[in-house]
Amino acid sequence: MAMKHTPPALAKRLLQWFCHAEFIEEIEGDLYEMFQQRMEKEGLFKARLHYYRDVLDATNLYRSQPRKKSHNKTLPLRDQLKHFFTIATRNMIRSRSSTAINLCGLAVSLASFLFIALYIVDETTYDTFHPDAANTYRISYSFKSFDGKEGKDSRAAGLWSVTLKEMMPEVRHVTRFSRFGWPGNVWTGSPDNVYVEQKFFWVDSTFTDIFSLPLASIGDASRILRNPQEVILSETTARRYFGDKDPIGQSITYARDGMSFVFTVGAVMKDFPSNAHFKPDFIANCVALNPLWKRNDEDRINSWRDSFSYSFINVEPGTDMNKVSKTLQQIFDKNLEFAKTTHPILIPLHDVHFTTGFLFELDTPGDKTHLYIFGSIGLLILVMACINYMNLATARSIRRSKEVGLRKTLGVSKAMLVTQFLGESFLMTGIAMVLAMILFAVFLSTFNMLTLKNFDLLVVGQNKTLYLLLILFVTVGILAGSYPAFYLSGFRPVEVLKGTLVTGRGPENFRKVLVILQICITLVLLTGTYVIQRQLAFIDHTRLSEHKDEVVTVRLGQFNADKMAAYKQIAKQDPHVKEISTGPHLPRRETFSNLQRSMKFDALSQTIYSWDQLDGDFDFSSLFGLELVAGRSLSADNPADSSAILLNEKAVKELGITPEKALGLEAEEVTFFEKQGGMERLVTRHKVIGVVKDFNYASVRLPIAPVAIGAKSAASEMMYVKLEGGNIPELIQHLVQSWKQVYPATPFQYWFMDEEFGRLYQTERQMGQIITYLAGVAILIACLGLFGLASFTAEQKVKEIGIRKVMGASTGQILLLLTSRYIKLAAIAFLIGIPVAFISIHLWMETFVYKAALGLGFYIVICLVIMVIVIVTVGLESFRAARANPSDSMRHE
Amino acid sequence: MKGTYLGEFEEIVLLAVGILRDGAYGVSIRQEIEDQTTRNVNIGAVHTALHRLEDKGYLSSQFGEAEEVRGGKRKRLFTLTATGIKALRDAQAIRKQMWSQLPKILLQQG
Repeated sequence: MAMKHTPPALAKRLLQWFCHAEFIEEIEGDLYEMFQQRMEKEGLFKARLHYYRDVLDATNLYRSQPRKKSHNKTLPLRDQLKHFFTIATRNMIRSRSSTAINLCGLAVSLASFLFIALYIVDETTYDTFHPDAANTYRISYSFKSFDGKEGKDSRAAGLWSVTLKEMMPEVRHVTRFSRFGWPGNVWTGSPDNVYVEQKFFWVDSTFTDIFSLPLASIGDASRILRNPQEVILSETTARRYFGDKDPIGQSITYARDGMSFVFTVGAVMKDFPSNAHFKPDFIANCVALNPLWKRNDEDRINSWRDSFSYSFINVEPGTDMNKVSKTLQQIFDKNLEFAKTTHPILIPLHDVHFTTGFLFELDTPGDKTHLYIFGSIGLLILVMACINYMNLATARSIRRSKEVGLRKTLGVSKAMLVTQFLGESFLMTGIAMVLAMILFAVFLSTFNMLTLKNFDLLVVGQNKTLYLLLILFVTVGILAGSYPAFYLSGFRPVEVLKGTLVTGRGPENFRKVLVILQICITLVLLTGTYVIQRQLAFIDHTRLSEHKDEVVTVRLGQFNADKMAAYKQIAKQDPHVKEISTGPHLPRRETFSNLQRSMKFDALSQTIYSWDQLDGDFDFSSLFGLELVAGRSLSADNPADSSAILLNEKAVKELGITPEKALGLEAEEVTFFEKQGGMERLVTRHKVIGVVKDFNYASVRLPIAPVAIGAKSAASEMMYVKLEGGNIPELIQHLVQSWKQVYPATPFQYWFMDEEFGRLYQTERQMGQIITYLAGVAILIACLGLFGLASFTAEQKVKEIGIRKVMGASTGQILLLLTSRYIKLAAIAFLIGIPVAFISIHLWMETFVYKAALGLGFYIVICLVIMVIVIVTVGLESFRAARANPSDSMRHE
Repeated sequence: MKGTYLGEFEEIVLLAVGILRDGAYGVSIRQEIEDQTTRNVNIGAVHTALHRLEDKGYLSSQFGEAEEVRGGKRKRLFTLTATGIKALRDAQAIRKQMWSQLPKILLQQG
């Protein structure tokens, strides 16, 4: 046989270059075989020529791509899943501590997030349970008082809405309700057993056209509301009055201004949900009170200017609200004396909860800033837990790199590895989710107490919660799992198996950044918590409430000077009862009447001042310990004092004179009141006899306003009793006994002033508590993460530590070696975190007029605290490693 | 599924694979077809048909031993699958059925 000839190299290269690897072996072999055959038969030249032709023939596009996998050679799905779960659980069990850390962190953060989300959802869905809430608006209005100050009233006069409906066909429904005679006296059976009710709502029979009113008992709500003799009770109220008895058909009596009205309980309604801006205990048709409305030839319900009822309208979808506003303004122009300064404001029902600045709101307005704060903290906590997962997963990557290398060599695609690692994070998230649900169930009642909401476990079953859980599951799974998945699956098998894998500084730096981020978050939360607590403590020590523990507030029914005098005499028989005074409701809130008085000081100028009015009796200033700057205080011994007034420093300042000069000035006060449809003007004169130091009589959110204090006790709503020493329960008993002698028919409704002041800052207090809890959670998660990382570092450096110890390093030196990098990280975190904390604290404090002095020292203290936490957390784990016997760690190999 | 239809050349390739049984690979199949039909067949066409038939599921393949005569490359050996056999049967049945309907006179003329 002749010498072996090979096919032309160029053609072969062309083939190799063009054909996909999958085809090459087969085609090249076949062509080679044919080349040999042809060479024998037809000679070298022809064989070569044919070879070229065949190659060109073979190089069609079809072969440049891999063949479609018609036969899938991978494992069936069932086996794949089984395999996946085996690997995942083995890994979780092998690294027990990091699994525990991850599960714990994820579960706690998920549970916290769930709580926060529920809170936010509840707050932002106020009043949405009413049908067609989206097209329902409240009619409120803005006005200008005599001194030109603008005010906003949440209510409207009765005829406005009714007329609006007549004028505009787009307005489908109109309804009004009021809390007349708030608070009202209600009894059932005997008049001795009186309750003072704050939530007795007098409604139009059209109430159910706009508002949802589900009944807990049988009956038709709208039919009952048409009958002025019937009343609807809430479930809780019905239980309070009638216990287990069937409340339907029972009678209750409402008493006001010497008249009493008897109602039959027609039905029991379900309690309003926590996210309703008004939650009535009683609902009755307002027609029932006609004898009261229509006293003195007036009709308070159907009035043009007596803004008395909360008015709601429901409009056709797509109605132009500007047009409605304009129509209302037309109504004002036609019928109101002060139309030029009175403008309607239409507030969507959804937004009523968040509107601020209106007088006579039905609930404490919600604060959207708080929601944003809570929401971002929730997210931060979640992110922190995900960071822990990422950190631990990448830290353990060396351990798993062999697994990755082996799998890749066996032909596992990158996509499958990514699926595997992502799957593991999803598995982890899933288990954490179950744990979170358990935590949720355990802490639900605590949460309800904190937030004053009433969620029950059933919320978990609601659609929106399920969606939320699903979204959480997917987000957390991806967030936590994606980086490790792509990082780990990117290992090159050759390097890994040879042992030459260098993880590089990439993931190391990534971990560092994450640790810094965590410490930053912790710092911001801790400083925030501290500042909120400080401000709350500061609020507790504002002027008026210095005596708060000793001051008992009692709600007066109708004021009667003789009875009051008699009561004072009887009650003061106990030496512990120091002072008794009547006065307006304190702390002052916007929702209490007789707010302001208009004053003119002719001797100075023609300016009309509108000042807060605080009318008590002669003992008022001594009870509250008001300090005099000039002049004297009101005295019962001086008959002229009943028309005299005291001013506070702020008022004197506004007059632009010194306190001494203010003494003896005469003020002209003008009051308007509606009588027989017209306006009456009443002018009274008051002499300034004293000036008192400024004191906080309202929320410290508001600046102290000018105040005029008089002794017109007829308007007093409250009685204040100052107690000093003695046994509080016994003293209260004494007060009740005395009360029964003087006011046998009125219940003794009392509370301590600190409670009342507490309620004033309820939102802040609530926020303070919630943030404290959240900060605790954040610290826990950050600690878990640090602990995990530290134990990983210690483990990774076990040989290094061993060698160092053999060479004579002390435990202390090794401890320093292991902890110093974390101390460095913490220091960097402080540098970033402090400015962030400073800015956020500053923004929050802006909302208060009177602020606690903070200084800067607390930053240092908090940084130290965090540093200690970091050192202890990292040190604990490092200490174990540093103490270990080097022979144990060095023995292997 | 697109392309369950069996072309004439594909049918011949399938048949050749069947005839060759264990020794069916590119070169031998081409040889067989050339011998049986006395057509000049291009090896590229054979490969294309084989791969297409495998995609259709009529053929399965595995690599044989590497051989010196092939320059150390392995053969890809093809075998008929059950669906491949069925496809051949169907093709034959259709032909038979249509043959039986051809007018006798036409056949006699030929």
